[in-house]
Amino acid sequence: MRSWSYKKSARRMIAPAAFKNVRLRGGSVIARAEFSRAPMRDALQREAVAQTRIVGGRFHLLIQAGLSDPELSISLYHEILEAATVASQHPPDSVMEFNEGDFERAAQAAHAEWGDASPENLNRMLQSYGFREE
Amino acid sequence: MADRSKIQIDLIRLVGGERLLRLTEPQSGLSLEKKLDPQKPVASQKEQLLSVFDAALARAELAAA
Repeated sequence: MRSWSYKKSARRMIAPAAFKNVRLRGGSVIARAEFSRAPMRDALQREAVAQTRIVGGRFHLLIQAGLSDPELSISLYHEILEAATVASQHPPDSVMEFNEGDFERAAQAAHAEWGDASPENLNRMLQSYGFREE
Repeated sequence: MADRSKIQIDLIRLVGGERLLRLTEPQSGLSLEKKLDPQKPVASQKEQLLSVFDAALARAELAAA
């Protein structure tokens, strides 16, 4: 598992607006992506670094700001692959047995192979795991 | 009657790396959360939680009827 750190990034290569309303393989849509500068806490006041809300096939991503670009990219790959798996009634066989570590390794591999997360690269990753165009 | 198509799923990663899976039905306010076992498949853990949630939702609807 990756250890989370909060290195300040001098420049932001990945813009959250680029992901808004992106249609993903598997049939889901990224309704919103946001990098939060405010501390993220859940109802029990536990500090969080990422949250993906899935409502009717629409993903609402919230990721803690301040990650380095590679960390942010890997987080996006991870959140999307895991959310697509969870949102699907019948996920592809290739991800059916994925545990948290497998999702993290898949996200790191996607970042290494395709570079920073982008709408196109997220769909490349989903395609590589068998998510179909819908 | 709760609308199951509107069940909200939250995947939350805590600072320590733990992953939470939370299901919420907005109309009834019923919510169920599980800390995911990092060793087990996420898809099957979600299905198990969804089964428990469905049963709890049905009980809540019966109680309200």
